[in-house]
Amino acid sequence: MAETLFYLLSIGAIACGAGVIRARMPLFSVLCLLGAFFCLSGIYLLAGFQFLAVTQLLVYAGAIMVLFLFVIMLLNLGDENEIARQSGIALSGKQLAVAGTSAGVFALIGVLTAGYGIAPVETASTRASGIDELQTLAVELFSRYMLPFEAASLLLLLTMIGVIAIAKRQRAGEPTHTGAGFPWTKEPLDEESTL
Amino acid sequence: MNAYIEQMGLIAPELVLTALSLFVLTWDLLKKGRNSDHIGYATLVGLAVTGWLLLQQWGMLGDKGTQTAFGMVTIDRFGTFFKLFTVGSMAVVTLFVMLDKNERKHGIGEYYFLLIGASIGAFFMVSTNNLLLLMLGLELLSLASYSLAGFHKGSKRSAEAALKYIVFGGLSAGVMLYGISLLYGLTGTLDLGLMGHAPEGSGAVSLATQFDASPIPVAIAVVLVLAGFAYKVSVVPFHFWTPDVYEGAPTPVTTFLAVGSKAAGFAALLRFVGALFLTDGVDASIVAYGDRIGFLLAILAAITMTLGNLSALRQGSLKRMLAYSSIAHAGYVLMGAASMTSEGFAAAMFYLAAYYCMNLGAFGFLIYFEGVTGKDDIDSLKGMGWRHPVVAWSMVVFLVALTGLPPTVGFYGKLILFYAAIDAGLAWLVIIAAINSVISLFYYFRVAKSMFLTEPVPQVPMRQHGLAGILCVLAVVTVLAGLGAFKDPLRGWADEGPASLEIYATDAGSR
Repeated sequence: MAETLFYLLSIGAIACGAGVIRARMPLFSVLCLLGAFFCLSGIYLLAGFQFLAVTQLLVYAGAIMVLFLFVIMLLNLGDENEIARQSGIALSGKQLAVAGTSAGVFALIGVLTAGYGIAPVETASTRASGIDELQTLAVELFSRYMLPFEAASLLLLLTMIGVIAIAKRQRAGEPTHTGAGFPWTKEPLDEESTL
Repeated sequence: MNAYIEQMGLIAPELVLTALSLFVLTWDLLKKGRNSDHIGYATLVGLAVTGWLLLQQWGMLGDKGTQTAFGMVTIDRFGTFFKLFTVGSMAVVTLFVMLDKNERKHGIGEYYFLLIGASIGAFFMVSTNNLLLLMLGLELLSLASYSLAGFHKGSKRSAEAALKYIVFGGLSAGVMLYGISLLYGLTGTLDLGLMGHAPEGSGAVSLATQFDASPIPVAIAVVLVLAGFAYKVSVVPFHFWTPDVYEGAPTPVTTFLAVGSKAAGFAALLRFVGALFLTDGVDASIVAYGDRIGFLLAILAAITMTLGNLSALRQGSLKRMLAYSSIAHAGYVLMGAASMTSEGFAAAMFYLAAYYCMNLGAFGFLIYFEGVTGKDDIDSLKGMGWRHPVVAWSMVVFLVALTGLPPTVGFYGKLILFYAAIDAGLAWLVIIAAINSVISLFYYFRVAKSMFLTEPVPQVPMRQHGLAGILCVLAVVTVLAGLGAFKDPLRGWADEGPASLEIYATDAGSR
């Protein structure tokens, strides 16, 4: 029963994942992503991680996806070809496909270099128990994994600043550059700018 | 409590950088976007403090050996070597930002913040055996790089660079995370040391045990993680982003991407491969598999250097040419990793040190040149040699070093790389690399020819003494580091690296 459910959910997740890439309307992409999140949280439940499953639903499906939907609705985004034409930036899908395929081929090479035979893997992580209790999770997070926890906070801060730096408008009348930074370099400036 | 403070002391360089980044950000806000040069100076001071702390640490490691902080950060000479060079290149990049004429000088505190954030990421990447922290460091570095690549908001090329970088980077991070999650599932630990050799009662299964039971999942996991690293250091099947991103990003950022980011990626790659396959105590079966991974890396190295050099031949833009040249150099460094010996690793570290000097110089020249002409194509270089002799001659030194000719550090770096590869039985790879060096001579020489052997085009005479001074110093370093008195200590430092990773020194006969 659990095995059948696992395969059903996996196929669902993969299909939804493919849908995210294939769909031409951004709205359908988002809805497919939502489906993928639901399937994933189902898999977490099967593995016995209730807390993760609920968090997945609350945070991703609940909060983040709604945000995505809002943005898409507000910006009134239509067909993605239209978007590509308007923005004028051609992100070469072919290059990306080549890169993705290379990763796949790379994995295949890995298989070939390893030789023969697939034996069922007894995973070591199945032996870890008690990870789902919230208390255990919290204790681990603030003792053993404190440093990565702090590093993650730095990561979030950095991402936030980066996004703001890119998104904020340049104030009108702000000079693009004022020349070399050292007091002893007082040369005439060229007026050209890359901006 | 005391133990806690002691551990904080071990990660003091990281803490100083974090404090510096927050200080820079707040100060810029308080100054309400007036001249940002003060922030540049503050950054330099902070980096100097970090560098001093690292030097103290280097000395301390000689007495006490490898230390671990918070069970995750491994403080060893391998990591400290790369951290010192990261700080050095960061300082040079900061000077470039301050001196670049194409850069805004107001309200760019975020620029410095993101650069410092990227180097914190690099610090974590080079000094951890824990895959979780490694991934966080990698993401810190990557996310800062994405934002920096798109920092010139008005420029379409810059926006394109940021978009391409984030899409490719996201894909590679996903691939790598998939590999890491497989490794965790197989071994039950995120610690590379335990993966290589799991003692009784550690609750982990060593990779070798899993490899004996079922080679295929192990192979897929290892190769997927390697693919993630390959993206970061732009090794060939995963190099597509490099020329576009390097071209579109602001040139100081390109410098950081080509130098700091790439070296950090290589450091993490070497540590990963070393811990899994070459450390004392790993089983024979996985060592044999490591040799096959080495062969795979050797093939990638051959393809990377050939493709990078052949593409560089055709470039009209100096920036794109340097981008392809950096791909080719990734191939050379990969030779060291592919040799799967401690000599090979030490050679790769030495070459990366050389690469820091010569590429910082080459990109610094590019910034100077862009500041003077506003263009970046090789044809506009005409007559640079006569109008700006000091800078042009410095560039010649960097070009000679990049080609790998004596008396520069580039020559000696290549020499020990070739020796290490021959010792590891990769003579065919050395032949390919030698042919590639000859090919690279053509396009590097084209730049020199353009500067000296052609009629000057009329241009506004303009000098940037600050930049010229930095380039001079870098050129002198590039030459001196290749000469006896300075090359031997550097060689010694590079040799300390694999030793501190406890990678056994193999002799050629036993393999």
